[in-house]
Amino acid sequence: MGTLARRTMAVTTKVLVVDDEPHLRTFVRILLRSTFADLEVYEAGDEAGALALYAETKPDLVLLDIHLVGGSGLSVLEKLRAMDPAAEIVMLTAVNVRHTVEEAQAKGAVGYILKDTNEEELTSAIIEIVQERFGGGNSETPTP
Amino acid sequence: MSSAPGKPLAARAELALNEVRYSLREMLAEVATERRSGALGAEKMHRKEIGQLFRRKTRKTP
Repeated sequence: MGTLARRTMAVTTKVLVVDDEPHLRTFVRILLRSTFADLEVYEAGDEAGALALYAETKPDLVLLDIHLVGGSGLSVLEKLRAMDPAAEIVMLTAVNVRHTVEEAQAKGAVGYILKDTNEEELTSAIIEIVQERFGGGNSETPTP
Repeated sequence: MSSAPGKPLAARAELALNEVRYSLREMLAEVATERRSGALGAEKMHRKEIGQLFRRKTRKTP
């Protein structure tokens, strides 16, 4: 992760990370902040927190886990899309069962990243999806 | 005996089995049910396959 150069975006991008595992949220936050210069990261650990933080911050992208304490990410996905039909939501989960993947897509998820992979693949998948949707891949500045 | 002349009984039974037809609509409904609850639904997908599934989604321009 330390060898990555920070990339600048046209505008500040806000990302909401919803995961009940604090270490995963920390990993994603550090990864995104160290890769993209103009990026704000918000974190929620459960459904209520995710919905409240989404309403408050209106993020450009949500990275959403499926297994949440006391709830399901698919339910959060539905509620967020009902709240904001333009919400950009990418599932970030270890679940790779076809039915769940197809359900997430049917409910409006725009991407699906498998957590259950090595750090390098996970890192590149997250960076790729942020870059793909918001740019920031061309003008590199050195890591401070 | 009332059996038709010409072919032996076993050959006619085989012909009858060959004429069994399946309704496409019913089969698709069955597959849909299986996808929701059965073996197909529990099928594990590979990272690349998931990527291809979502690649069809329109990309947001920056």
